[in-house]
Amino acid sequence: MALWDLENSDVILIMGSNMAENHPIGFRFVVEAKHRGAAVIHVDPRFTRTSALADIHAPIRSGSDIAFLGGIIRHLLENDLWFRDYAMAYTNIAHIIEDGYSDPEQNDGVFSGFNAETSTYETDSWQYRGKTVPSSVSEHRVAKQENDGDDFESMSDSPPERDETLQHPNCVYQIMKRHYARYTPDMVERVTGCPAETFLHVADALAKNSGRERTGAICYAVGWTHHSVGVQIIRAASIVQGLLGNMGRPGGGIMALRGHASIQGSTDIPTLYNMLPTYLPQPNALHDHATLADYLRTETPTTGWWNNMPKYAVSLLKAWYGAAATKDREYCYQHLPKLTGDLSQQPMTMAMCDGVMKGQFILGQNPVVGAANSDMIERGLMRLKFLVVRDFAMTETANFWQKGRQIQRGQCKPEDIGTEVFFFPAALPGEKDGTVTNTSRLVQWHDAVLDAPGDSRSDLWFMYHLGKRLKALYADSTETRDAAIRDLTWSYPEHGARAEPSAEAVLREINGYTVADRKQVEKYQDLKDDGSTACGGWMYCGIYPKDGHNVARGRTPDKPDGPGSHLGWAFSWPANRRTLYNRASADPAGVPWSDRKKMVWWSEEESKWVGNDVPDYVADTRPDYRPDWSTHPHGMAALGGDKPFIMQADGNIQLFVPSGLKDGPLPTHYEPVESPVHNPLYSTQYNPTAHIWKRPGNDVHAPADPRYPYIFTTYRLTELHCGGIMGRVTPHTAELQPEAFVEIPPELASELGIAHLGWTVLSTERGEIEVRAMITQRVRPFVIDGRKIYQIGMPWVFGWQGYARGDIANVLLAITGDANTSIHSTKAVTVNLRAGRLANPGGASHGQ
Amino acid sequence: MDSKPGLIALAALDDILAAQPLVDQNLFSKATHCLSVFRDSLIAEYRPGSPSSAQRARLEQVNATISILMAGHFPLAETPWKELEKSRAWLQSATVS
Repeated sequence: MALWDLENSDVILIMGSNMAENHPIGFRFVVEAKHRGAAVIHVDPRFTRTSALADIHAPIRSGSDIAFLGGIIRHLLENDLWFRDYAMAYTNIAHIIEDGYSDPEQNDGVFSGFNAETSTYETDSWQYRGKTVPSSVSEHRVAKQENDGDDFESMSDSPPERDETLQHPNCVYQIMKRHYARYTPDMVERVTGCPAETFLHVADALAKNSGRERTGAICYAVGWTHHSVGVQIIRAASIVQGLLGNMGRPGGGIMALRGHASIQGSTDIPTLYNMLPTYLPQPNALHDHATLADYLRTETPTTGWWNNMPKYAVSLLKAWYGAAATKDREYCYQHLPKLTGDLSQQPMTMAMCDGVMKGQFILGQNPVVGAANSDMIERGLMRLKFLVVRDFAMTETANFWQKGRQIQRGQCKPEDIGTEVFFFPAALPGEKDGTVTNTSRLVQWHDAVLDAPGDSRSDLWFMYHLGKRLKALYADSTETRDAAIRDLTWSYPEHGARAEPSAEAVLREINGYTVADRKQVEKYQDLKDDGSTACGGWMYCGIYPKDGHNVARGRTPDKPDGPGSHLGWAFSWPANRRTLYNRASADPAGVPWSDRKKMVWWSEEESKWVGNDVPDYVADTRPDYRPDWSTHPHGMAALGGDKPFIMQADGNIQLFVPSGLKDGPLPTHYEPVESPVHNPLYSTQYNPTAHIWKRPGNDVHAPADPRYPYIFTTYRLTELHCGGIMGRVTPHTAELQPEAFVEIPPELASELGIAHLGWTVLSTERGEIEVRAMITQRVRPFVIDGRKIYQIGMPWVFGWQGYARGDIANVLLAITGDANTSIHSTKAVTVNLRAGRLANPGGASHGQ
Repeated sequence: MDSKPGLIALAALDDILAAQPLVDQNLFSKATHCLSVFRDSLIAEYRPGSPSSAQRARLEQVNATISILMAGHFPLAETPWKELEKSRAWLQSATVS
């Protein structure tokens, strides 16, 4: 959904985010919705400025989100409050799952297929009966050799088996009812600490604002993702929205609030290790990916829109390798690096400590402050031969060798560190051309308004000229391994005295063109898998559809009388569409669910889908189209005209996920890896598939470890954006948040003898820090399973650089990972807290 | 050439293969460290001159073993024991050649 579509919501649930403070631009649409009568709900451990503007604040213990959302799912199912017409038509609620499926409720916390020795799942028993369901291409593969593409042919034999009466014991509805039966309001209170009465207010508000005439939105941020069950928390939200009929409709959806200016863009055109641009999977040496044909056969789903993947993959290779990318050379597929293991930031921190890595480039990141276990990161950086940091101000990562915690504590000296550090000054946004892709996939162009000072250069300048030098270096090489650099297309117009490459030329290439005449491709439907088209990212196709037309420059909003989709404002991928899956805004017959909530619909007169947004469907596929299964249809031919969720293999919302998740087909409550309580639901304490990388310096606290009795959470501040360096070096913002602090409830402060603004020491097995206390009722004690549990919180945005300084919160964190994404856990760990100061301070707060 | 780093790396990999299928982070960490030391010793030996094709092949074998080790140390799915067994042969070859 578009950010501005939030104003069309009748209820907005904000959970896992302090949206008012950390996403203030988007929050104005929440405020507008409230003015129009929407109910705003904030579910959060702290009472923040978001809570202050909400109608309901429901406090929950950090890390108990699935218990809360599971309670909502139960409430909807048990009280028959779900939007039946929508969910029966557009979700897999009636699909029948394999007979071998069994549930955590039967297996004390694990699903069928669990291998306790390897802590992994086999997913055979999660499949639709008689089918092998491909996961959506962008999702993570579960197994080494998940399935050969041929197995997916079962999806083109017949539609998945369903029981429209919902009585079959293994239909998704019955499975969910059993799975969530224990998530009663009382259990929600017992697990989350939220009073049952408050929980019921929330559940009823969501249910009341569902149906043909009403919709609701859910907004989340890293308060959901940064957990060992982060993906499953979001999955729980998708189940709620699927049941309530809130996907693909005006004012409905799940808004993933992205915390950085263009973090969405850096996922689309990725800086991620496991994805090629626009969500194509990175080839893997351990999969059947030896050749391009193997890769495409293995990875391409038989049915649904992703069946077009070969067109996008071949066009990408043509964009990257140009004339060298011929069919007989597999379009240079062999130039792509093949994965073996998890090369995301956390594992690579440990690999750095083990000496694997020689060098590291860090752009737009400050991991010593922003990533888990700062001390381990420093130890890893010390093992490098070289480190390149590009930023517009000196960061803790760039000068760890001079001022780092290891140096401050006398554990080593700068002269003992062999890492050669290169610090390059970077240009600010106003000093460079380019795009920012915001939280709702809106790609907005911006022009440079002045030159960056001194040696500061744009990231594009740096990467482009580095690439030119590498190409010159390897120009005469005959080594196979250098061919990827030799063949790379790397010629963009330069301008000005600094030879700045043209960012628009890069955008034109990302949009794509026909190879023969170099004409811009207008839409991704025109891409081919025969080498005749090139495209740097299929979802961005249409952003530069013809020479001189940069759609991202568009700044024409709709007028007050509508329609409100603002199609003239910048570009939203794909196809300038504002709401994904908007076919679901109409009923199965193609008629809007209501006039109040209309978005796209089928026009008999025009024989196509029309409406206020760009329809997310095959334009002329009628609502009553049905696949002819006798022909074993592939691609979109296998989806009926009443199946809006075209990126899924059967066109349905997956309330139950048969493939693509490593930790279960349904969200279930586990405690965080570190918790002061035992799991009230199962003896399985935490997500059994979570990544726990125990090693010296990264030990994890046992459940209910009395040495670390308090829940600790981290968050950002409005005044010190992201990793803080931007605000900390700017006097005007630094003075607004001058020093690190920990928020402590008055009751705990009283117990521990901590005074407001007095010094405190926080400690874990990973490290100790000292900060001043902020005693506040914004954080309240919880009663969990009959015990009073304290939670404290601290901004993670401080470090030793800038005017506003303080110890680094992430010193306290362990490196652990969500099973699906390897994302760190920053929101719920355990710590000890005491009044006083460190004997041997490691942070910059001491003595300032 | 000093064969010691290679032999230590081989022994570390053998420890992992003997412990399978249980994943032990410390064993993997040790093997990763030992293999990195071995690789670095080869680089230090080869860099001053112009390495022969046999020397380069040897370095490639060690690098390939490290890549497979990463799949065990930080697996994306189940630990690829079969491939790790195979990579042991590469490492042994690199150690003795």
